[in-house]
Amino acid sequence: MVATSTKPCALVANEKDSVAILLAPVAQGEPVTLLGPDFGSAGAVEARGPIEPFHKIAIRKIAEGESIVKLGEIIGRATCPIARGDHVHVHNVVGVRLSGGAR
Amino acid sequence: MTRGDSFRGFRRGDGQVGIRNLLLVLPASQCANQLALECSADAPGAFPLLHTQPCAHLGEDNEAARRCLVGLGRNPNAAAVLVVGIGCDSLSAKGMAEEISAAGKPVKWLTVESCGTWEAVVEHGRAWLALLESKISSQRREEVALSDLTLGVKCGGSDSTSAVAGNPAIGQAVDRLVEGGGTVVFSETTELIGAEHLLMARAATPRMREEIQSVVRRVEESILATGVDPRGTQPTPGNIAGGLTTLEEKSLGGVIKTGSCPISGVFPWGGRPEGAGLHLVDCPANVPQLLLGWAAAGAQLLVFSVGGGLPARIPSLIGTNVGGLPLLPIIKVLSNPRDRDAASYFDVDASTILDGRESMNQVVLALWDRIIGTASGEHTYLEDYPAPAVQIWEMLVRGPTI
Repeated sequence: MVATSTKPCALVANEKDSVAILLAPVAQGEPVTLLGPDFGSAGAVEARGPIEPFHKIAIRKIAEGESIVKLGEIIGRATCPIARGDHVHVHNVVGVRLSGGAR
Repeated sequence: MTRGDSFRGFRRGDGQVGIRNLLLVLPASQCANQLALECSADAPGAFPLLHTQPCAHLGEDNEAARRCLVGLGRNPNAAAVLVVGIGCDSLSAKGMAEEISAAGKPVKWLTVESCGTWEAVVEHGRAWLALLESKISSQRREEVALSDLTLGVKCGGSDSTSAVAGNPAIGQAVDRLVEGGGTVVFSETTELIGAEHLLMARAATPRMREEIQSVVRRVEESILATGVDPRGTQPTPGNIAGGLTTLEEKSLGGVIKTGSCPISGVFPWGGRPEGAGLHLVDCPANVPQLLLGWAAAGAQLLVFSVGGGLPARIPSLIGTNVGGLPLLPIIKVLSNPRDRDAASYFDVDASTILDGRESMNQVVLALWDRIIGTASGEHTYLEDYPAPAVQIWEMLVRGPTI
């Protein structure tokens, strides 16, 4: 089960995703158990910084300009290189639609 | 039939089924709002639906408002309708009352012009409402099929939990209702940007596919034409604090609540769906306008998915200053387990999926049970919420206002 576990977990909502949704806060260097779409175990990742719960953590390396995939779909592109375990949010991702190509 | 395959509602003359039995008092214009309030003063079962329709709108905006007001009158949750006007309103009280009569329920219209004075309208209006109140109190619910139910689905205060808790649970309920012959309406065209390809792939016909693309393109182009960077408005600061990074991410999470069934139709605000199945109402994501649009489309019930954070701390209805539109009971669903201490503000707690207290299936069953129960007369949290504030419901305006 999810939150009954003492270790922080993150949900990989779709097997194509490059990010997972943290279900609890994590501290820098803390290991995060990854759960697959059916909440089954899907490996682990180490957080490279503190991340708030329900924010995204990269579960693989993402190059600058590369698409971010969540829910099996493209949610935006990386504005700088993103390492596995990084917090993925507005500081390193931009939406493509309505952004006028802004960074 | 077991609980779940049917519900108990009020059959109207035109065959539609109400899940509530309101006396709707509909002003023909904003000048008649006070008239509607005064007529309703002594009738506890009356709901004066105050709105913003002025005399300063042009053709299509007036036409949309007329369509909407007639649709509200025809909504089966209204057992009877009193249309009140001044007589010089931009929309005719008499004309709208005649169109509403097609719904096979008691309808009356009164204007200052037809009655002679303001006070005469109030006197006649009160007498008619008192008569109708005793008449509808003897109406009884009967067992009806799922095909008699039209459900709206909406999300607000979204965060990243919405897409993995409340919305997928709602999506499963939507699929179940559509498979059962029911009707579902969704909207918020702006929040389809970035997810429209998924909806287009589900279009029932090639024409529907084009229509979905065209309504999304139109709203996107209208935003780009302003030259304003919409980030900060879409996603909202609350969305961003909740972990949503881009509009696409918000949209992709939002469309999950529409399930996986085909999309049968697209229609404009104020209009009605043609046939059963899942339909898109073309409207911005502004709560008062959305509620009017859905109620005008004939929806009897709405499921409102809230992510978490500060919006989850609002016990009344997000985006309004009241507890909702009485014509459209609302089932509130919570997604974020961080806000579980606010779960008493909600009808269904889907956050249990994310902290392991319940499975998705258990939440889907609880939600379905609430849908059937609410349709059969059980009150929602918001229906019992004391909301002394008044809402003046906003008409959708494309402009220009002159």
